[in-house]
Amino acid sequence: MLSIAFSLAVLTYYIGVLIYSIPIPWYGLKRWAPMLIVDGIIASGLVLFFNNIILLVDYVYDLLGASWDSYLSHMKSLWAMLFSLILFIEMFLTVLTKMPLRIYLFSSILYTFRSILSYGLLIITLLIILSIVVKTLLPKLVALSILLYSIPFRIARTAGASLLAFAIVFYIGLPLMPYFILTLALPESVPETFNTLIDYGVAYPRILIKSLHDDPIPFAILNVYSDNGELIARYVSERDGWVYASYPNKGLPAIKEYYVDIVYYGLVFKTIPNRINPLTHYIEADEIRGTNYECIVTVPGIVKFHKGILVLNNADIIYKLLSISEQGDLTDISLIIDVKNNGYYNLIALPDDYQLLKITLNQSSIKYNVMKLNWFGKTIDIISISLNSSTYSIDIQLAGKYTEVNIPKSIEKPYVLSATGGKSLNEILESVSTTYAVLSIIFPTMYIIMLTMIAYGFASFLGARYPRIPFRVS
Amino acid sequence: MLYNLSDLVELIRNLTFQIAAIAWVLFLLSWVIGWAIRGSPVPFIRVKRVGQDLIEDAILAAFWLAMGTTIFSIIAYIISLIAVPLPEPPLP
Repeated sequence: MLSIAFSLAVLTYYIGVLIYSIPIPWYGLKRWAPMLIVDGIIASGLVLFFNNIILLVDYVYDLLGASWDSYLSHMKSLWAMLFSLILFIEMFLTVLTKMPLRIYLFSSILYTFRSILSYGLLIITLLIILSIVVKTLLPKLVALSILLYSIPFRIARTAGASLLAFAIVFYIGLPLMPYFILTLALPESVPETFNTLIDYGVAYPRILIKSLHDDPIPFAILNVYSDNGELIARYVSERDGWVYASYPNKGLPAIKEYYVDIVYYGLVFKTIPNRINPLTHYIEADEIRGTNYECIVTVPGIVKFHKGILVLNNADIIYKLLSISEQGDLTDISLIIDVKNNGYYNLIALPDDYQLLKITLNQSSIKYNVMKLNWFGKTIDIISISLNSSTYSIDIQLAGKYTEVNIPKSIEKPYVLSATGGKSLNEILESVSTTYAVLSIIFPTMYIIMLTMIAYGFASFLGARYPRIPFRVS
Repeated sequence: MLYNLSDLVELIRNLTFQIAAIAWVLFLLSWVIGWAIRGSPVPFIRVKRVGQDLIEDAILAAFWLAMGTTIFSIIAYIISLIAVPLPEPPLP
C-alpha cells in the first residue's frame, strides 16, 4: 500500500509540472499547478514518515499511560456484570411468570430494566469490537489514509486525513475511557452479597423435609450453603414439614447447585439430595403461600419421626421392623434390627416431655446411656446402647405428651433479604440497573462523542477541508 | 486488469514517466508560444501579459521537472535522518 502511495505522490508532482507546462493560459487550471507540486512533496514525505507516525503514536500512548490490556479487561468485566444481571432478571422473570397474577404484577418493571441493560450490553459489545479493530489495524489504517491522502487533485485528501485522525485519536483515546468513567463514577451502593444472589439466581420453592420412612419433620432447621461453604440461608420447617421459601424475601437459589443440611435437636444431619440442583430437583407445582416449586429432601439419618421422637439411623444397623403405637399417655416403640458391627449406637432422641420408662433388648432389660442436649429451651435426651453384631428386638416404652418446640423466627436467614441487605429485591435491582445503565450507556456515549470531536479537529489540522469548488463563483 | 499491487505500482510509474515526457515537450511548446505571443504586434497589454505568464510558467515547469528527482531524494534524506526504515514486506 505504501508503494502505491509513494508512486501516487510522485505522480501528483509530475501532473503539477505538466499543468504548469501547458500552453493554455487558463488561470483556474494553472492555480492547481503549484498546489499539486506541493501536495506531491508533502505526500511523499508522509509516506516515508509512515513508520515514524506509528512510533509517535505509540509514544504519546505511553506518555498518557493508556493501556489496552487494562481497558479490555475493564470492558470485559463490565460486560460480564451486565450479562449476569440480564440473565438474573430473565431467570427471575421466568420464575415469576409462573406465579399468580397478584405476585407477578409488581415485577413488571423488571422488563424495563432488562431492556436498558440490554442496550448497555450492546454498546459495550460494540465498543469492545471497535477497540479490537482499531488496535490491531492501526498500521494498516495509517497506510490506507496516507494512500488516500496522496491521490492527485486532493480527491481523497479529506477522507485520508479524517481516517488518519480517527485512527490515531481512537487508538490513544479509547484505552483512557476507564479513567474517564472513574472520574465521573457513581458510588456503588450494592452490597457484596448481592453478587451471590446474581450468581445463584432466585426461585421460590417449598421444600419437604422427611424421614426415611416418609414422615414429614416439622421445626427442623434447614441450612443452605453456597459452593464455598458460606451459609446463604436458613429456614425452619413448618408444622407440616414444609419449608416455604416464599415470595418476595425468602426464596432459594435457582440456577446453581447448593448444599443443604438439617439440624434437629442439636444434631446435624446430611440429606438426600445433599447437593440440590434447582434445574433437576425443583418440580413445578401450584402456588401455595408464595411458592410455586416443590422439592423433597430426605433425611436418611432419621428413620422415623413421631410426635417429637426421632428414631436415629446408623450405618451399621438395618431396620427390619419399626412400629410405634400409642395408648393414652404411653408410647411404645418396637424395633427389630440387624446390627453388623459391635459398637455404641445412638438409638432415639426425645424431648424431655417424654419420660423413658423402660428399654428391653430381646425381652431383657439393658443398660442405656442418656446424653442431654439443649435445643431452644427444651432438654433433649439422646438414648444410646451398646450392641453386638446380631439381630435384636428392642422395645422402648415412654410416657408423656408431646409439646412443640418453639423456635424463634429470628433464627431464620431469608435468602433474598439477607443478600440484599434488608432492602427489597426490586429496590436493589433498580439501583443496580440504573448504575450500570449509566456506566455502560451514558458515559461511553459521552466519551465517544468527545473523541469524535477531537478527531474532527485533528482531521482539520491534517488537511481535511470540506469541499470548495476550485474556481471562483461570484 | 490489475492482478496484484506491483502491477498497479508499475502502471502508475509508467504513467508518471509518460507525463514527464509530455511535460518536457509541452514546456518547449509553451515557451515558444509564450515568446510568440509576447512578441506579437497585437496592441493589447493583456495579451502581452498572457505571453509573459506563459513564459514564466513554462520556465517554472522546466525547473520543477528537472528538480523532480532531486526533490524526492532530498526528502528521503531528511526523513531518513529521523526515520526508521520501512519494515520488510511480509514473505508469503
